[in-house]
Amino acid sequence: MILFFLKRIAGGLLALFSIATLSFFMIRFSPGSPFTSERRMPPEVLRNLERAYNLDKPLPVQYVLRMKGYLTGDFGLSTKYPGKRVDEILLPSFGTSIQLGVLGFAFSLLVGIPLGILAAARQNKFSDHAASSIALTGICVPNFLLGPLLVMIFALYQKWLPVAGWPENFSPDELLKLILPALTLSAVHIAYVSRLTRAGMLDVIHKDYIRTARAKGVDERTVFLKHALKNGITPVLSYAGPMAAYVITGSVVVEKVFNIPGMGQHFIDAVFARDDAILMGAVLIYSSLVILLNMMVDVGYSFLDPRVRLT
Amino acid sequence: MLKGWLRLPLALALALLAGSSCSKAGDDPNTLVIGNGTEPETLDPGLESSQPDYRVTIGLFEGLCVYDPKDLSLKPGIAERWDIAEHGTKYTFHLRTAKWSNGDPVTARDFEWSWKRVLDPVFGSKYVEQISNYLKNAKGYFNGASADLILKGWSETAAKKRDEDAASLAELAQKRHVAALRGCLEREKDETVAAQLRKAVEEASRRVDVPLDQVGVQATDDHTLVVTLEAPTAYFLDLAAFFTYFPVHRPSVDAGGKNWTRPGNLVGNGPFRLKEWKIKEYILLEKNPNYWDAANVADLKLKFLPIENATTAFNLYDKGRIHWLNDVPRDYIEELLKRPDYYTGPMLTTYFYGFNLKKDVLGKKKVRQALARAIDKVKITKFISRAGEIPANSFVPPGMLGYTPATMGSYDPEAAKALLAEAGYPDGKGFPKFEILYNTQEGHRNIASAIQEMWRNTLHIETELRNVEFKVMLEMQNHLEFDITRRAWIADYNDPNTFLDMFTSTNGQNNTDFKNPEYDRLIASAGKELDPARRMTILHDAEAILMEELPIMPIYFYVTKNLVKPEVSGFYDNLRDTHPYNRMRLAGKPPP
Repeated sequence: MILFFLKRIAGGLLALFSIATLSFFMIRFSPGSPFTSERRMPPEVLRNLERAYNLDKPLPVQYVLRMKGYLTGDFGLSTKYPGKRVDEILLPSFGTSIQLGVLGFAFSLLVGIPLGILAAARQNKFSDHAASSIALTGICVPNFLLGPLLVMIFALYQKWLPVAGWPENFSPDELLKLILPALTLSAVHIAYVSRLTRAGMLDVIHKDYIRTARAKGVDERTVFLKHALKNGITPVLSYAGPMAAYVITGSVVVEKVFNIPGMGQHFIDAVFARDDAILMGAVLIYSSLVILLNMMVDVGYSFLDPRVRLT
Repeated sequence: MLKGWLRLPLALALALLAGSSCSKAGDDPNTLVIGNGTEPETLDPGLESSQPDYRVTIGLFEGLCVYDPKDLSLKPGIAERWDIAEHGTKYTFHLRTAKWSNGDPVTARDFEWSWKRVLDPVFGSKYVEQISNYLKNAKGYFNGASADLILKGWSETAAKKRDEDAASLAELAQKRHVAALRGCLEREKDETVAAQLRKAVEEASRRVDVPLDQVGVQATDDHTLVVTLEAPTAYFLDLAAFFTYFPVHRPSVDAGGKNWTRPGNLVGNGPFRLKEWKIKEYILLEKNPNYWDAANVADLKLKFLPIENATTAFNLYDKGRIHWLNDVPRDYIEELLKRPDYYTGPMLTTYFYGFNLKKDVLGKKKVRQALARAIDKVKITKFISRAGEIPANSFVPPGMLGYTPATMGSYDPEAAKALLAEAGYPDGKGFPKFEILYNTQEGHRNIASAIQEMWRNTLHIETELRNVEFKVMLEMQNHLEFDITRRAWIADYNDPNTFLDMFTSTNGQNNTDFKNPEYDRLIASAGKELDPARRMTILHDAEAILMEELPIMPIYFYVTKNLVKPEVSGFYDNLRDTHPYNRMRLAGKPPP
């Protein structure tokens, strides 16, 4: 068990190192510099700025300096926001992205699973088709379209919800701002979860032990929610790990549409501003997260299914 | 496709909303909420370079002069009055009694220190030329100090960067003193570079360094600032109102270091002070009770929201969550033009295409004239940009005081055909294919394809469209790796020179390879001319050359696109889209 963890951690660090190296050179080889601007800078200023950010040094030296920085916990200075450190820009926004992600994750399960159960219970009836349609829509409509669509319906036609923004405090009015972005973010996952639940349930529902339960006279409700669900839901659980990573790293578009101060916005801005320090910082945070979640999924499996051994 | 079928419901939504008028921007009735486009990069006036930065700093700081938002005339700011002497090269500013937001007095020494701070090459101001081009000896000092820095880092600089410098090294080194050069020489192993350095050392003794205290800004006492200029600069008062010339509070800059612009650290001298700054969330300003004219400033909070998505911003405005937007979704403009809360008017900004004169065909004047005269700009503004932009036949936008722009030949397909024939390509025969370069954005693409079509139909020549990401386009423009490219320029001050000096032979913004000695001479002589009327005539003559030679082809002048709630008063649409907060009021909140 301990060996397993050590192996995985070593593997994770190696992956992070490769990602950092790769992204460092990819950014350096892309055309344009952080200081390219429509109003061309006097060459003296440009040279001195490059000097201040070590951009005038040979590439291997820059690389070593950057990596050294990471080892000492120094994420470097932003070129887009002069005087600001990468960690102080990214960390608060990462917090926001995590909150949005957790909410999206919860939405996906809390809406997706009941929809799936409903569809399975009313197989090939109207509710099933309705749930399937919703799921298909969720999968097909991209969130840059779904977001504005939801805004149009729930915030503009029906003035039920705020059009955009992120809560500034915990008053109910402010918290309402969470609903549409979380729904937009989770739509595609709600769809997958409901399909997976339906398939899992239908798979289980024809098993012998269910027939036994029914034969014993257990009412249909208990059969579904107690006996069948427990096994029917395993496919969803194995999907939950990757899904957690998707919802947290996939909020870029949602953040733009709803003007949410999350990390996705910084990530995109950094690409266009060639702000390599922020960009690499964001890439590293995202990839650490994905690696961590994958590790958790592996561990989770071993608890759920004793046949999976951690070696 | 998507856009097409979305437009109908969107228009419907818009119509519905236009009728409803909920008026609660933010929850605090004393807060003026401003859609600021994007997150400001910095609140340091010496470093800032963009509108979102400026919209905040104009509330936090005040220069010697201020713009009157109604007509952009220059009014006394921190300077109560000023004298101009020695043929317009010496300005003496007499400062009023004013305080910083922490209660310290604002003195002439603050200005002297702040301006010199921008001239420090380590500081890295993108707008340093806004000062170094004008103050006496400023350029000499700045270049010298910069050369020192570059030479100091010479031996550890990447070989590629050194090669880039090698060409200008002799020139660079000549600006510097012997000791610095010898130091570099000792560490230098590369023989080609060492040879240059040795030569520079030999010549160094003939040189005079410019120390910082010779730069033409000096506080003679707390209330008197004497500014000496390199040449009479007719628009210097305009510059004195520009953000690069804002004063900063030395003790808090020294104490805060890079963190001095944070809430709690930032000390300003403007009508408002910084209360909160949450990156990508909002910036909150509150009234500065220590401002010299605080009695006439409303007791408001200003809240700046960084919203990049124009549709999201518009939705928030229409739901009453924002009071003022400075940009709107393009698709809504036709509807908005009918609304009383939409303010639009001409701006000192030009949208134009630049030619690369190094490309054989485009180096011919007649070809450029033919291309330029085949463009129906009215069509472009009417059907593509659609916000009421003004078709441009001059490079300098109309509206600069005392200046009449020189114009190019107007749209005339027959004349264009004739010009192309004269250039040796009758009916477009034998004309090589070339490329229109623009940055990836729908608006630019639509204009480029319209122009492509006009050239095909009128001149029978073929062009290709090429879109790249913004910074890639800028790099290509800087290295003249294009045929024809889209560009734009915003006035930095209210004078034609801000547009015209771009195309002197050595200007960094030229990017066309246009070199015309007569043009250079006219721009230089306008810089020395004292008589305002004669100066404008000289600039007009220069623009006439530009409009004859056409290294660039003006397309249209921008318009402002402000949406302002009726409860906001003291907002004036103006040519520079600059809006000081001093006189802004929010209804339901009586003026003090």
